[in-house]
This record gives sequence, structure tokens and C-alpha cells, in this order.
Amino acid sequence: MSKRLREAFFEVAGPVLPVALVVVILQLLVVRVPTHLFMRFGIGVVLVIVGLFLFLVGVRMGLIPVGEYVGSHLPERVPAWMLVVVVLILGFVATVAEPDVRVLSDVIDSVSSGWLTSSVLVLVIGAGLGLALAGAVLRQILGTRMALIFGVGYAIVLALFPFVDPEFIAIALDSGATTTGPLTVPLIMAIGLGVARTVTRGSSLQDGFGLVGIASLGPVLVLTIVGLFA
Amino acid sequence: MMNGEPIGTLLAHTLSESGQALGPLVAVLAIVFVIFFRDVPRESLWNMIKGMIVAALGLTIFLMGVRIGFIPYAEEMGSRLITERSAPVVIVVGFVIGLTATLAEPAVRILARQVDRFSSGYLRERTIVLTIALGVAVSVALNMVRVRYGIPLFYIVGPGYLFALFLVAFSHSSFTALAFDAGGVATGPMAVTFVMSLAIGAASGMGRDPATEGLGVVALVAMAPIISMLLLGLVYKPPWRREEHED
Repeated sequence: MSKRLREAFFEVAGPVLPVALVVVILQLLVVRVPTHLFMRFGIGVVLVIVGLFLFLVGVRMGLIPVGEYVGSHLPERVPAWMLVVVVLILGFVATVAEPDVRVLSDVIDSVSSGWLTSSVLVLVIGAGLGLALAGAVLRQILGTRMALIFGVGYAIVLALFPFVDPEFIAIALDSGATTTGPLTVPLIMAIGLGVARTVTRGSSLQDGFGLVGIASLGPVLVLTIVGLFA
Repeated sequence: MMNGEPIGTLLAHTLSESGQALGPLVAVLAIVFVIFFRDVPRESLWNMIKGMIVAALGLTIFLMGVRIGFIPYAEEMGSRLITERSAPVVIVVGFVIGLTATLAEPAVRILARQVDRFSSGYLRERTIVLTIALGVAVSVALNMVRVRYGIPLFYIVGPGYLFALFLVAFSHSSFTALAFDAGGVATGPMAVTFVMSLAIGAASGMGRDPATEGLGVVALVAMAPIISMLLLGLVYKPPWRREEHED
């Protein structure tokens, strides 16, 4: 257990501390931000490390083993259509709980005008990821080629962009990029590999890769389509 | 954003938000378990509840830290940086922040290690990590240029993804999947909280609309590794190219 705790700590502190160090150097040499904000940044670094650490430990203790168990055993217990439905719902609720998505929708809410509040945005992103994940499982069952999915998906997005408000393009692309975080990625990978093992007889390694990419495509597509009507 | 709010209110607000965030996931997993996996010990369900309480607490503390410290500081720094310093300095700062954030990102390392193993060491872990990090560094720097000169996001993202799709046509399907995954793992919590607030601060510092000009940096961070990985795939003709056949 203590080894896992240490791992989780390094995993969290790893990306935060080097950036904090760069910030200290910048503060001293390049830009002087008022001291009270710099102090708040210091407090923020501590809170972010402690918070993410507890989040990771909690998620790994309780949620991810269960998610992985479901991901690897459900495909052999239920018919394919039900699997697609469960994956859709799981993708949705996992995204709603993802820290990155929370922060992103917060920030977007604070700068963008109009009806797209942070809670609505979280729900839309969740729906997009759920749909994409269900589509990815369907792809594994049907054996469609990965390049075709990315090609068609991004082609639709690019074709729609000229008709969408520029603000929405930024929101859509940013959302797609953040959906994949410390909570969704392990769940997605577990489900993908579980399905690959039971449903397809192909090379499961090749099928496991690419799921995260498809998951990012979902929210981009859904938000671009929402943007058409906004 | 929530600067005016007293700490107590912010804490209460954030706590209830964490509950709302994690509640549905736990409920769905519990329901799936009860319906399909009756044979599994109750202990896992207990662990799940304990884990959820710890995770909710952690999420609350994390969000507090982001709101109290990261966002206000990064926005102020972005605004000052872009108005007080010359373009080359701003570009270098963007590059360094992007590079540092990605080199240490565990998700990137995990992916790189998987690839290292999958290709039996032909593609080294360090090569992958560097490829992804360089992509991110260039994209954060490019975004600073975009904000400074007011270039619309679409002018970069449009050609960028077209170029990526063009490269896909010449790439092995394993590498395609890998490249798009690399785009997903590059955007960790640091990219979203710090880099994004920096860009929004820079946009408002330049007197531009932070919604259209400030947003979009995460999108660039996700796109750049796709292109850099696909380019790497053209340089390294993987050994699995001959052995595996397309389905």
C-alpha cells in the first residue's frame, strides 16, 4: 500500500512541481506579479498536490478496480447491445466526475457569455464522451478500421466549422482535449481491452490503442453540432 | 472568477460540487454491480464507498487550490507577460512552460512505456516522450503568437488537422491510433489549469475577447502531439509494418 501511495504522490507532484519551479524563476526574472497573488499561487500548489493525491488514492482504492472488473467481465455476460448502452452511461458519469472537465467548464463559464453555464457544459461533454465510447465499442464489434473513424469524424468537424461561432470552435476543441484525465483514461482502457479480449478475435493490443483518441473526438463533434444551433 | 467569495462559502460550494461530480459514477457502478455481478463480495462495494469519500475530499481540495491560487495568478501573469515583454520572450516562456509540463506528465510516460514495450524497444520511451513534449511546447508557444497577433484559432487548427489527416493516409494504422492517443494524454491538469489561464490572461491583457481569443490553447496542445507523432511514424518505419496485416 505504501508503495502505491508513494507512486500516486510522485504522479501528482511530478507535473506540478517543475512548472511551479519555472513559475518561481519567471516571477523573479521576467514578470513581477503582485506578491499577494504569488503567495496565493504557493498555497494553490500545495492544495492542488494534496487534493489530486487524495483524489487519485480514493479513485484507485474504490472506483477503478470496480470499473476494471466491470470492463473486463461485462462483455462476456451481457449481449452486445446492452454492453453498448452500459458503456454509454459509464462514459457519461465518469466524465462528469473528471477533475479536468470541472476546471475547464469553470473557466469557460467565466469568460463566455450566454446560456452555456459550467453545469450544462459538463453534461454536454459527458454525453459526447459516452456516445463516442459506445461508438468505439461498436467499432470493435463490427471491426471498422480506426483510420476511417478518425477520418470521417474530423472531416465532419472541419466541414462544420465555417458555420459555427468561433467561440464555439474553441470551446468544442478544448473540451475534447480535456475529457481524458486520471479518472476516464483507466476506465476507458479497461473497457476497451475487455471488449477486445472477448468480442473481437483480432490483435487486442492494436484495438486497445486509439480508444482514448476516439473518446476525445466525441465531445468535439457534439459541441460543434450544438454550436450550429447556438 | 470567484475572488470576491469568502473562503467558507467557496468551500461549501466546492464540497457540494464534488459530491455531485462523483455521486452519479458511484450510483451507476453500484447498480451495474448489483444487476450483473451478484456473486462478487460486498467488500468491493464497501471499498468503493470509502474510496469515493476520499476522492470527493481530494477533488474539493484540488478545486479550491485551482480557484484560490492557480487561476488568479496565471491570468495576471499572462496579462503582464504579453503586455510588458517582447514577442521573443513571450514565445520562449510559452515553449518552456509547455515543455516542462509535458516532460513530467505521468500519462505521457505511461503511454511511451507501453509503446516501448509494444515495439520491443525499437521505439524508445525517451523518443516518444520528447516527441510529445516538443509538440506541446511548440503549440503553447504558437498560441502565444496567436493571442498576440489575434490570429483566429481556425486558421491554425483547420490546416493542422488537414495536415494530420494527410499524414494518416501514409501511416500505419497502429501509429495512427497511437498518435491520436498521444494528443489525449498530453492534456493533463497542468495544461488545463495553468496554461489555459495564462492564455486567457494574455488575451484580456491584449484587450481581446477572452472567449474567442483566450480559449483554444488546450485544443492546440492536443493537436500538436498528433502531428509530431505521425511525423515520427514516417521517420521510423516500425518493424511491425511487415508482420501485421490489415484486417
